[in-house]
Amino acid sequence: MKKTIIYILTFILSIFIILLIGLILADTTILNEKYIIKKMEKSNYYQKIYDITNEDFKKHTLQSGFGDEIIDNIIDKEIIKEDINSLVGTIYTKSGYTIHSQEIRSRLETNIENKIKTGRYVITEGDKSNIETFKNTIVKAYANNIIYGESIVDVLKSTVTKVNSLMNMIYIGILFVIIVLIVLLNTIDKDKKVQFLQVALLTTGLFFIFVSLFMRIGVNFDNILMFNKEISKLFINIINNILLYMGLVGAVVISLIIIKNLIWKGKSNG
Amino acid sequence: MQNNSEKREKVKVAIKNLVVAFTFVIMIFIIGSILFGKQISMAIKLVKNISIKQSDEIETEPIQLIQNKLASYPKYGEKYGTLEIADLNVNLNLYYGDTLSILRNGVGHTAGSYFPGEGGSIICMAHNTEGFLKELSKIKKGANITIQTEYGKFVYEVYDTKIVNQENLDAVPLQKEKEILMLYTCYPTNTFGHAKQRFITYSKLVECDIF
Repeated sequence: MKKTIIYILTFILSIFIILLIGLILADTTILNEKYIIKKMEKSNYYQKIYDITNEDFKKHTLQSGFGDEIIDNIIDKEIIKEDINSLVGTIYTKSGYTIHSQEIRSRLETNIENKIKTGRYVITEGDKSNIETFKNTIVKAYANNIIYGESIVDVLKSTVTKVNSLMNMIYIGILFVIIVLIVLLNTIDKDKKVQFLQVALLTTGLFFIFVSLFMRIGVNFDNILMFNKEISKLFINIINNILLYMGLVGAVVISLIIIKNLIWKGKSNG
Repeated sequence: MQNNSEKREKVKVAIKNLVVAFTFVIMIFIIGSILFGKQISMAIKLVKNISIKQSDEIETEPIQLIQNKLASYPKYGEKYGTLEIADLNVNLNLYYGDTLSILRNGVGHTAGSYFPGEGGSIICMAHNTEGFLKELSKIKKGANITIQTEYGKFVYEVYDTKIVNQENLDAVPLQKEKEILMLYTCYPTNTFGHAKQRFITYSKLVECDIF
């Protein structure tokens, strides 16, 4: 009976240690704004969005009658980086985001005015309306490449800020339960105090290794395509990174147990 | 002797701990799948749905017209012929698909409309700029539009033209009774910005040479 209780408590302890490590992993990766920004910088995400946005603009320039040069210098990498980071910031905090739509529109207007002046074109009322449509299309194309969708931003924002606001409470709760369980197990089984902790840590290590392997082999993340190739690559990169961390955590924990067993000279009961 | 038995004892304990840990992991997976199985399988399904299949390059079969139907179709975005209007000095590549990217390269053929030789509506469009269909609005009734493909040559004669608003989709009806080529571009042509009208030519098939 005593042994059964010890095993049950050890099982529960394992679950809570897994939850704690899982939470730390999430907190330092997908729930962390700096991590996401670091990943974007490392994968050259801003440059790629700049390239994609320019390509998108070019789809509209031919029919505008102005030619490709009309979009020269209306965006730059700094603006793109600022706007993307502003959007990422809004997902992780409750603040709003701003994108440089107005500035892009005004740069485009300058290019158009210069083009009309240089070419001495006569602009009719019809042309004015069509030019307005063209400007709106370009600005919208820019916004779409940064934001992808307001509803998606709203969902991410509400999920992430909700979870982040509960994090401290969750940490405290889990740590409290872990401490209580360790104290309980120590009290119930003084002689085998090393064992329950070993089993709990081994369970944690094995769990993370198995989950990491299952997700790498059983679920094919590498071919995900959502919105565009660049955001898909970023997402895949983040997932693979998290799976790598999980595998590493598992390997480190198990290695520590093995090393401890090799050097431990204390009494061990069967 | 004592050291050996101690070592053996340690190994026994270590293996026992490993077995217990393994059992716990399996129990966690079982409990997890009972409690969250539905959500997990939905998530896996979602990942499968948003994953694209990477397949090897498929050798495209030659396009053939058999009994008024193409035996195989060009890939979306692929050039499958040329469109020529001799009277206007127009000779453009013809692509399957009508995305803005495709239209930067030539004439786009609307997916969903019929192909030359199939006996239905063929809807094509191109930009109204220099090097494309800038002069289309000057086309006269009786002028010829020739579509040359790897499976045949098709000559169409213009019998009507129209200027319509861009939202007027009834102006390019999809039907399969008669082979009609509807070629359109933005209108007016000497304009700036995004034109809100379309200039459409309607042509009937007058000559066809299947290879």
